[in-house]
Amino acid sequence: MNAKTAIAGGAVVVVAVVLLIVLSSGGSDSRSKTDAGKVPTIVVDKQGQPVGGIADLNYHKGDQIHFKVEVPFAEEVHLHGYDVMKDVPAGGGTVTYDLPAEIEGVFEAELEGRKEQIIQLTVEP
Amino acid sequence: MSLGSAFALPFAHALVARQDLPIPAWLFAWGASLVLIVSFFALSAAWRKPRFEQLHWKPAGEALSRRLLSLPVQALCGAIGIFLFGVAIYAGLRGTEAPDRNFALTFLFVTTWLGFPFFSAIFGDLFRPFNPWRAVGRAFGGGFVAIAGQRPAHLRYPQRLGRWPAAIGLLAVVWLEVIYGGSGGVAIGLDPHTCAVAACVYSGYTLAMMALFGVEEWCDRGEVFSVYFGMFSQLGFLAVRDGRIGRRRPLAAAGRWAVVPGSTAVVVASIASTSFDGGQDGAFKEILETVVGWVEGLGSSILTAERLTDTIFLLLFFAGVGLIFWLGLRGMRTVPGAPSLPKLRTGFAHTLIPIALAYLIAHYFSLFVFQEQAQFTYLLSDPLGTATTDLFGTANAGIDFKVISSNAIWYVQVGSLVAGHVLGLTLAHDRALVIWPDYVRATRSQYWMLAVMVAFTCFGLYLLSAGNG
Repeated sequence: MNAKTAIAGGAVVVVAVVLLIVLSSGGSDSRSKTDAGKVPTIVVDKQGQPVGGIADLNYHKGDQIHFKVEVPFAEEVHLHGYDVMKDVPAGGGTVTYDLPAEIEGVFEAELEGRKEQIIQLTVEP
Repeated sequence: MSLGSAFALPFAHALVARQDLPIPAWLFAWGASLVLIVSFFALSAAWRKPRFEQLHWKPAGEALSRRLLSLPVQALCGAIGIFLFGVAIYAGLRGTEAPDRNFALTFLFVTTWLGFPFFSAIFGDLFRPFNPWRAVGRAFGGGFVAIAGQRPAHLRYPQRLGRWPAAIGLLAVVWLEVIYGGSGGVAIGLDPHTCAVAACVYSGYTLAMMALFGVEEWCDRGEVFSVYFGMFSQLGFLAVRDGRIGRRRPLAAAGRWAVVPGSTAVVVASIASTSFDGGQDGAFKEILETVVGWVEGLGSSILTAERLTDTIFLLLFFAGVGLIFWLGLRGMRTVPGAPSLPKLRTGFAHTLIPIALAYLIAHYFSLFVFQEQAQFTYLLSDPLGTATTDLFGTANAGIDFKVISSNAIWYVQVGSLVAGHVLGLTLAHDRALVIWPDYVRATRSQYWMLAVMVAFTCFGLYLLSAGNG
């Protein structure tokens, strides 16, 4: 290995180390966990759209997934991945999800009949 | 710290109810750092004589080859391929429209589309004996010989076309899969019926081309799946040569693959299409939405705007990946003793095959692991997804998403990208030693390819880490 290669190699290693330090220094998790104690409620409007857009719900594995969905018409709410379906009766109503966060990943809850996503649920390790 | 939200995969989205979490920042940093450090040591401590220019061919026993390559075995493999392809088309046409419950989508786009690249890269060309179109073409050819007493006459294949029909076909398949099937905010993606109709149209086209140019000629040049899977098989250690099955040095066959025109376009299309699929709902979601808004403002429907925008971006990805490779070639051209650009292109295109494979593994590994559970349980028992059959008693099985943790998926993703980087550098360095017998010049030329590889690997890591905001 000649001097130029050694210098170039040294520079590469320095860049790598700096990159490592900079990117690793942000802490272990910046996600805002779903507020403890408050049960988030996702309200669906008459057009079948979630009010305020698709709701982001974030949990860690081992947490309790707990949320409600309020729908003004008969529908089936489906939490994919966990594969939990709940029926909203004719005339509308509220369904409640309360289950342990056992599977890691990103999941959708949607209005099954309309194929409309209303929630993006994230479970981190 | 996670760099954004979920890495959403539109196609996975259509089938699997779970998407991967983005790789965390610390792993991104470790991966990128590892790539830089490995690259430096690859340059400083690499070998000085080519090691992958010779196949180091070791044929297996003649009796084994005779049995495995016998006509009955070939006919059986072809029949299996035709049968499974037929089941997929039938399920697509007659089964449920739910993509995750229909045999067609998982079989064609997961088991076949992902399985053959993964396993061919280890074991060699596994698709060839099971290729349904090749089996049909050969059967017709055999019938023709039996009736007419002579081999069918074919047109001479235009050599300048090379593998371009396959490269364009590859982009078309990806377009169907992730743009036509994924646009319009339709959560279910490509529907099985459309998939089956497309398979029928492609079959008609392929058989017509085989009739025109010959079965083997078309499989080697134009048949999308043969060429695409065949590209990855060049890395594998098993092959058939002169009627004998045998072992060869892994990676060694790749060096000869790119001499056919259009080969570079195939490998570039592979990297570009995986990148686009990974980025369209993740790293590039916002810019895509912005452009869709502009196009919609011009008076088109949302569906047309999305498909048009996605098509333009897929082509831009194709051009971008090609441009990065071309810049690397231009750089190598400045090293004294360098051959022409076309010769450099055909000389180094194969070095991108490990990168293409790494991208596939990084982006689709979890999809493959999860969806294959469906393939071998409820999709096998109830191919139509209509809940009317239970052939093997597994129709009510589900996918166990806990079979592999997010941490394990992250390590596979980053590990595959780093491994692809190392293998790409290995092939590039080896080829440089052939072109520049002077070791110093060969090493200088590889600064450029190293930059290309670092760019692709870090881009792959970025796609895995960036989210959809």
